[in-house]
Amino acid sequence: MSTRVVIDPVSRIEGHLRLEIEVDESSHKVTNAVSAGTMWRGIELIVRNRDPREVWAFTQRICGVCTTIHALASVRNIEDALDIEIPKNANYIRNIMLGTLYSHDHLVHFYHLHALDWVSPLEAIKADPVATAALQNQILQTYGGIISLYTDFLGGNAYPRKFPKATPGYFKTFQDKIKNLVQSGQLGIFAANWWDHPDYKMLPPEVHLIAIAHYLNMLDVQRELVIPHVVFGGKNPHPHYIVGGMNCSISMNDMNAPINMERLAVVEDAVYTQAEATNLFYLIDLLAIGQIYIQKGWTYGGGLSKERVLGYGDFPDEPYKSIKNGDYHKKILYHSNGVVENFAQGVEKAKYYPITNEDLTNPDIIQEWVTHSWYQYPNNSEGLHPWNGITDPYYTGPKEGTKTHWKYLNEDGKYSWIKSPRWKNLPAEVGPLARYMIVYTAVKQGHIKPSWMDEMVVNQIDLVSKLLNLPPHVWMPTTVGRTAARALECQLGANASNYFLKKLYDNIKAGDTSVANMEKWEPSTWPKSTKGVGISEAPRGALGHWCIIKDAKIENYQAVVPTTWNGSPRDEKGQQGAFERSMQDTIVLIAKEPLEILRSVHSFDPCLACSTH
Amino acid sequence: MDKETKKYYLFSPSLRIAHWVWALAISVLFITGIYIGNPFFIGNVGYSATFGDLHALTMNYIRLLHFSFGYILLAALILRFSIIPFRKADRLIIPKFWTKAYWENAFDTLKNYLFITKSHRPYVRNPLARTAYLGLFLLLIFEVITGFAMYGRSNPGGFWDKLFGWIIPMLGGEYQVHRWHHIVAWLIVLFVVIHVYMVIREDILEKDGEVSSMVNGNKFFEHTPADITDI
Amino acid sequence: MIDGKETFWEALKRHGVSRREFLKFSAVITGLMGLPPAMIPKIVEAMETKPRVPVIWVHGLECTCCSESFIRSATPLASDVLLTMISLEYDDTLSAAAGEALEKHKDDIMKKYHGEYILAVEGNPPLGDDGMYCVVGGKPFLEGLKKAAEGAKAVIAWGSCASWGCVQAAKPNPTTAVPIHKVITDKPIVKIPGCPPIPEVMTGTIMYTVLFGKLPPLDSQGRPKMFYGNRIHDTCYRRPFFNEGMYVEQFDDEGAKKGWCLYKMGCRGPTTYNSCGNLRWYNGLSYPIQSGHGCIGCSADGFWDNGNFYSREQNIPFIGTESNADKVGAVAVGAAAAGAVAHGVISKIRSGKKED
Ligand code: HEM
Ligand code: HEM
Ligand code: NFV
Ligand code: SF4
Ligand code: SF4
Ligand code: F3S
Ligand SMILES: [Mg+2]
Repeated sequence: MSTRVVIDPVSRIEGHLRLEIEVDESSHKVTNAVSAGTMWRGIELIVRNRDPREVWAFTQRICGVCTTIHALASVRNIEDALDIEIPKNANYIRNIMLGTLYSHDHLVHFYHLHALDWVSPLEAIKADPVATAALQNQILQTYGGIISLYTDFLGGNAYPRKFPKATPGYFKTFQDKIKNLVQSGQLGIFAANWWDHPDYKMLPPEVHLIAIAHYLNMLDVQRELVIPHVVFGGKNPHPHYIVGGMNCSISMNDMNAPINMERLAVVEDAVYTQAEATNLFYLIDLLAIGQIYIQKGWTYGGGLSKERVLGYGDFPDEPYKSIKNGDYHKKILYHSNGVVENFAQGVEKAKYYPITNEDLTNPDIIQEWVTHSWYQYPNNSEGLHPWNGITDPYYTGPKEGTKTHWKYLNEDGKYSWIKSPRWKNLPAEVGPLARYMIVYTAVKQGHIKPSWMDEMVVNQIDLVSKLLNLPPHVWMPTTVGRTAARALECQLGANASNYFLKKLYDNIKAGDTSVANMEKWEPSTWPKSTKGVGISEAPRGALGHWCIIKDAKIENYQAVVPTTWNGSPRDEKGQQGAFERSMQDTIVLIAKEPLEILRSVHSFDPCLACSTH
Repeated sequence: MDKETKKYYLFSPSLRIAHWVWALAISVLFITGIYIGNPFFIGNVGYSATFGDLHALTMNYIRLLHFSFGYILLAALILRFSIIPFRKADRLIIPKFWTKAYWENAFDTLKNYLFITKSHRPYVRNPLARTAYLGLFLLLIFEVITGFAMYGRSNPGGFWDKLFGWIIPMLGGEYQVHRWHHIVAWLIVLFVVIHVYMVIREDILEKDGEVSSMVNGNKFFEHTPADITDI
Repeated sequence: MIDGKETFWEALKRHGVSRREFLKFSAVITGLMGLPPAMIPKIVEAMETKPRVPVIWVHGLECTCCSESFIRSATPLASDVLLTMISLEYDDTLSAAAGEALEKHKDDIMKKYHGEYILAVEGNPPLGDDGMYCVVGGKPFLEGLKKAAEGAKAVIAWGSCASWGCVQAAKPNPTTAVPIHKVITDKPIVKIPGCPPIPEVMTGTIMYTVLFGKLPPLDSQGRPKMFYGNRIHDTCYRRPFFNEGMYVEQFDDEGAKKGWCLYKMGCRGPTTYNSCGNLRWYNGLSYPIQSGHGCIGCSADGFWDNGNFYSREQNIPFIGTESNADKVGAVAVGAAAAGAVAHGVISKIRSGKKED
């Protein structure tokens, strides 16, 4: 017998997501999975007819969680359309901000959005603080090797300011807090969860206590990680950018300068906090929890990642002339620009296709479909490249229930506000896991000359494989693997902040303080009509913005966003997106309390405001 | 005066003073206002802010001038309106839309301005002029309200804010208040250009001493003006 | 204990806070809220007698950056707010539970604390297509919002979305998104605009409300006076440069490096009310202007549609976007002058004929 279970709202994500699953109660298999984005704002329509130079601010508001990334994609997009090459410092600063975003967004996801799928405050109460302190020391010992993969280009600060406290008193303090909360009967954000689910018994209480203590500890620390955004862009969320570079002028002679020595020192301090929080807390906790889950057989949830993953590549080492003409892909350090198929069969057997400028501009390669989305095209059974993209809402209603009170959605018809992006008519998973598979395959199969970032990725994967005593193709395409890849990438991002800050110092030292190229600021210098593409590797995966500019105004603007890929509904051919595939690759113990489903879907770090925009 | 004319005393000293005060105030307000909107000429580039005060033509001074003449304009408007109850001739700014004469006289004047007829009847103040002046007064009042509303917001809850602050949400926020204040500034200048032309035209064509009337208060008519009962 | 509910001071005590620490904390809080030291005893009293307030935090059309901003608060730290000041009973971004279990918990809280809980709203409801551009639990967000507002003691509108409409309500507002005061008309609403608001402004408002058991004094627009009382322009550290006429003329020019006024780069500080100039972001670390970019007016009503962010040029509405008021004005005045001359010449000629 199979029951259809609805999870709506899905909590601990950004935005509004609805899941419907059918579980076969005897095999515990998910026989059908439906995921629907249940919000839409129409930002692609709102930016039309506006000045291309201010569009970054609009698109930035697509999301406040991966804040900044849509601004970055947008300024890159407009610069691509107008053939603007930004100064070196601007490139370094943008990369520091991107590295900062990785480290912050990934860390907050792990502790504050994902952790409660794995650990429970109610289990933490049962822990012995003395044993917990001992365990903390032990796991630091066991997993600490990963810390050495971080390369300190800057040369180091005196000693780490933020490190896990392995004392019974520390853990007792947090445990008491939780106890009091439970006793007061006001559980607040911890209320009403399926805490009695057997999965919460998988880990010893001491691991629960470490994780819950760090949940609270990192809630206070996370704000310090994004300080580079506040310095370079004035605030976070939603720091400011400009087309042509950055607004934060540099001067070592002016105390009023946006960037001077004092400001850079503030950034440097934050860069070290990123490293410490990632190396000493996040990675260690992740490996400790992940290893136990993998050992207990939790190797499902991979879904589409076993079959196909996609990425665009990011972190241009130096400024590039344009994305359209291919220079961007020559300059990047993070070579996740590719598609990898069948990674689950082993890295040797996986198939690797590079992604370059042509794949972004060719009208037949990347397309979006709306067969099962609440939009319409003049011809609904074809896909459209974003330059020809259309956003025309067309709400239809559910399968059961009324138009405004759903019972079940209609997966045979339209059922989501997310479009379905496809690569050569095929679905693909994007995100840290995808990027790690792509870089790993590209390096191991010898397709690219690895940069330091690529090498770091390979070393991280090899190290974890050794720890788990499993080859990458076994542990990676799983829910745990997805969560692990994010943690590893957090370290990569934190390291990128460090690397590019060093480059910024060196360039300023060489006498270059320019942060903006204003040659094409005035619309009178622009062509009458032009097109652009702006890409980035957002925390959740490959992000692309496409624009058409006519008479100095946006004529068409389309964003194809990571969660659009992952959360996409079925397409014309019935092929499912990554969320649905992952759910169908997950075992659900208790159909009415599908904790496993939440865990698998959360492992993507879904962002619904992003996906639908 | 080669022809036989009769002298009519029209404009009281208060009216004349008010007129010239606002002519001056509007000129200063317009120039400083446009400068505030777009400070195109920069005085002190190169000085540090701390010492900039010692040098002329800073935004500070321009704004101070603007606000000072804002007060002066307000005073002149109050002066002009306060004399209305006391003297019939000072009510000439009120167009009498409700009378048949208003419309007849308006057409008479309009036909002349459009070159349909060669002349119009003599008026103490023709209806079109009266309408334009009323319009101008409304625009000036608008500038004063919006101006003091913006001015008052540097001390929220203060006197000017309490008095005129209500206009800000009505216009859809302070940015919109700037916009309308700016647009109406141009409308006023548009009036001034046309007004000065009309005055000089009248003076030359009708030879009624139009220009000098705002100095000495008197106009001269050959025939009795059609609207003589209004004074 | 009041009605079996824990007071703020009791909660602190339970967390091992000493009486001395508690009093010190109260003094800091008093200063933070801009109140005179004479108010300290009142604050202490408030904390000792007021029970913890349950909060229901709902999300409509938004980008969640208000939540993100909230957790960036340093004074008080977000963890302190969440664990000792309020009881955040429902928040789809942070709550552990999901789906039906979470929705049921919300219903229970709404019943149990009817008339006592605070409803915090992030984002806004779209009205188009029966509200189905934003669906939570299979129903329009609009419906859930109204229901949650019914039993609320007061409503907090987080951010520019809930307060004014924000980006999704920018022209042409494809979803007909509206600020929450358009649909919640019978409850006191305190607006905390900003895109996002400053973290400490958010937590400061919560603290005030919790401590005093009432909303902070609001201005005519419904914003707390203590945080939105002044224009950024009037509190901006670049103001001396504005006064002296020292402006950035182009990004990254000499003036930009020297930190001059961004007025000519379109800065909206002169028309924007927020604490950016005095409180700043990250407890005084920076704010957009300090990073060299003009304020875009992110806490102002309708700031998306006030014209280009990089120019103060005032366009005339209705005529279209190219209608710069100074250009149109100059042309109009020029045309009027030319017309006057032409009219004068013709008049003269015609009146000359009259005399013949
Ligand atoms: C900023 C410039 C000016 C403004 C705003 C202005 C405004 C006005 C106003 C509002 C009136 C009606 C007065 C009343 O009834 O209280 C008026 C009348 C008059 N103005 Fe001006 N004026 C300006 C410049 C001038 C100049 C430069 C002249 C002369 C060369 C002038 C000559 C007159 C005359 C003669 C009248 C009386 C017209 C009549 O009785 O119909 N004005 N002006
Ligand atoms: C004939 C009357 C007036 C004219 C033509 C005029 C013109 C202008 C113009 C063009 C601006 C620039 C607006 C912008 O782009 O932001 C301005 C700004 C301003 N005006 Fe006036 N104005 C007049 C009367 C007044 C009055 C009576 C006041 C009252 C004090 C006033 C106060 C202001 C203020 C406060 C500003 C804004 C200054 C700033 O943003 O720094 N104005 N005015
Ligand atoms: N999906 C997505 Fe984002 C990310 N990462 C955007 O590009 O989260 Ni809001
Ligand atoms: S107000 Fe701005 S920052 Fe807050 S949710 Fe809305 S769009 Fe995001
Ligand atoms: S930078 Fe902006 S807010 Fe600051 S003084 Fe200049 S115009 Fe005013
Ligand atoms: S853009 Fe917003 S953050 Fe402050 S300086 Fe302006 S109100
Ligand atoms: Mg799109």
